Amino acid sequence: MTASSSPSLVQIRGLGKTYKRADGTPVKAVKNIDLDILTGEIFSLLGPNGAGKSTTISMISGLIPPTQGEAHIGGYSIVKQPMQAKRLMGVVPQEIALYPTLSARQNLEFFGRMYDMQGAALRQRVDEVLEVIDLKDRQHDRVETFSGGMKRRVNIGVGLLNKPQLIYMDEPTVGIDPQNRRRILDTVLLLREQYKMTVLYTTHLMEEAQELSDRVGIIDHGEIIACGTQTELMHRVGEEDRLILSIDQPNVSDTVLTRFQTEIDGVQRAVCEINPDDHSVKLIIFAQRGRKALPDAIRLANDAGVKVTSVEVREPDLESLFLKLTGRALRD
Amino acid sequence: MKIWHIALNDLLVTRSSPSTWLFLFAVPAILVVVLALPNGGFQDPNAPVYQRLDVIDSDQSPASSDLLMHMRRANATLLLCPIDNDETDRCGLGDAAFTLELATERLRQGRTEGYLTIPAGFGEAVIGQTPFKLGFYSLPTTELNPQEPLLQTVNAALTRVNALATAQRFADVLYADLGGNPEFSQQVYQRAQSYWATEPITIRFEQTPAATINSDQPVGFQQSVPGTGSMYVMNVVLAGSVVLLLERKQGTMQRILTMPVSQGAFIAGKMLSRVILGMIQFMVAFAVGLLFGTRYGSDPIALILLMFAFVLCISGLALLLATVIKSEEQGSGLALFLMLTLAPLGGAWWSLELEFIPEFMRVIGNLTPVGWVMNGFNKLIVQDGGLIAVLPNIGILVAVAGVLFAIASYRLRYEQ
Ligand SMILES: Nc1ncnc2c1ncn2[C@@H]1O[C@H](COP(=O)(O)OP(=O)(O)OP(=O)(O)O)[C@@H](O)[C@H]1O
Ligand SMILES: [Mg+2]
Repeated sequence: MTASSSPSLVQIRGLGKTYKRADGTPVKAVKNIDLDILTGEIFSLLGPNGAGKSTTISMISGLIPPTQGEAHIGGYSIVKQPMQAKRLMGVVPQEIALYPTLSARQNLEFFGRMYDMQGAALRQRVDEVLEVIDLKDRQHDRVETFSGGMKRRVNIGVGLLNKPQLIYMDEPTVGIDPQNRRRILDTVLLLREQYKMTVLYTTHLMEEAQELSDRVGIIDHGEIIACGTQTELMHRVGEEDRLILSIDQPNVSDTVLTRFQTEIDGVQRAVCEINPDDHSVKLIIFAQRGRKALPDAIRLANDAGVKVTSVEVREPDLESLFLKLTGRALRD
Repeated sequence: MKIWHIALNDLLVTRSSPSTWLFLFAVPAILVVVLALPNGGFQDPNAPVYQRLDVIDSDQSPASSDLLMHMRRANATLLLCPIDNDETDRCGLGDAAFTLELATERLRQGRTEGYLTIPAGFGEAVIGQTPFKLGFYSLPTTELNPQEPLLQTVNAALTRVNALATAQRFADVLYADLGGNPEFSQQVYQRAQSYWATEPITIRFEQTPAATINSDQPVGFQQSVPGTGSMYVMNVVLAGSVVLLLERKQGTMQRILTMPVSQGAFIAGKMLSRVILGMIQFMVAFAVGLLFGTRYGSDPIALILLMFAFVLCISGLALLLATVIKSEEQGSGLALFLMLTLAPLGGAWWSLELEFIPEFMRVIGNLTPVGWVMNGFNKLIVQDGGLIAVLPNIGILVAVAGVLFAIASYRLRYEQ
């Protein structure tokens, strides 16, 4: 099997990783994943914090050995032929992995040499990459003097050095401002359109997955719980809209939740969601036609003494699929 | 090739830190000089060493100056103060006026080997062959401080002066008894003096200065150059453990490992850079010594091989350390601890051959890499040995390096 004969550039079969904590207890970070990434697509791995996205990327980039299963990159086993497999890929790690006291150019040149590039070819490739990440004017400045967004761009640039067929990008937009995020998302699209690269993109933001991806895999607790094109996935949610009521009280009793389901026409169920970060509480009501159910829902909330501070109606999206599959919000 | 680029990059990163320049160049350079002082200072072990003898010549006669002249001849290491003092103040008198009290004080402080008083009337007593006493004072003789030769010098000189005077007096008697030429006695004296000048029966006193009685002991820069060098080699090489940790923490190691580079190549590159830095560190220390005229024996190849073996051994230690430490603070702390215990134990601060070092310390010291390398440096620099002499030192350093690297590699593999 070679890279050209198969439509899937990456084949993941039964892949799993069990870490050992310091006290010896095992942590099953990734459980028995099967996944194919097709040549030329942007594939998003969408999942909340700790779902196992980075662990998966680490295994299929040859950084950590899997405890079970196997992955093939362009036909090369990442376990048995790591050097060949690694030549096909570029990796953009979640954390910025650069030498802070070296300049952007020094960083790029060094990592380029790790792919056996040298001399004029290396210089030229570094120039091209600097063009793509738009940092030509700052190339001789130390990376430690860069803004977060600029560092992220250099971080991405290193992953492009070897003109890979395949690039892994692990949450490349974490912790940066909207402007830089926009820029990075545009770069990702450019990689597919112009450079014909295959992209594996991980994120916990459903908007990003929705905007970029040809196909999406949803990962939770180390398992792929859904995978397919966005249309296929929407199909699984059904026609359900979500009414999201922000409320000003710590909880809603189960009896009230059942009342929404039984008393309002077209409501399948209602759940109460607490955001662990800001402790804000949301009442989420799944309804066939959201707008129609809205007046009744507000009336019932008033009846039950639930103080509603704001109301939102959402059409089906990846968020609702995640909610439907796990009973939890993906959050951001 | 990649190993080489990883090493070069490490050097580039190291260079970009200002503390590198401080701890690779400035601090060791200063320490080489500073540590030279308590180890015998700027004393050149090859330079002639003088024995100071203060002389209070209250007679100032031809006979007294004859006496001094004969003393100088009899003992080349003798420095008569203040008469023979020069512009470099070899007598160490400073601006002080020379008196009997000062001479007594100088002797008590051990700044002279003794003093000689020539009271007025010495010349007449010699000519008249009447009994007369010179004063010779010295501290009680010890093994380290033998006064015997000095006294013999004075006696030998005195014998000549007396013999000449005897010859002259004999001539005078002959002249008086036989009615000879009045210039005859003068001629006899001169003839006698020329006989004595050929020195038919004198003993030459060549004295070894106290500091180099044991020629195995390094002095001054011979101690401070390899000592400081070895200590700061540990500083820069052991820092490699923290560098490895930092690479892991900042994710650059993981990034490199997602590239077509093996973990072995990565670690080899990192260690190669430490070896280079260690050798640079030795060169810095030895260059500073050269500025002060220190000589390093006659086998530069053996010297470099010895340095290399030590650097290799400490690199192994650094890699082992890297598998143990959990944080940068812990790493730098342990590295500093190792440096500050192994260096003095192994004789990097002072020679383990010094008299006051207890035997058990010498034994412990000779069980450490610093002890092995310092012992090797002594063989090459002080005893002017060659490669054969230091082969055992190089051998044990390389062997221990091998063991350390093996344990470290095992731990690295096991860690995963
Ligand atoms: N070296 C490790 N040792 C032990 N447990 C680990 C290790 N690395 C990750 N884990 C655990 O494995 C699980 C998956 O972690 P992973 O980093 O793959 O998640 P993620 O999806 O990338 O999360 P995030 O969005 O926060 O980056 C988590 O529970 C994490 O605590
Ligand atoms: Mg992650």
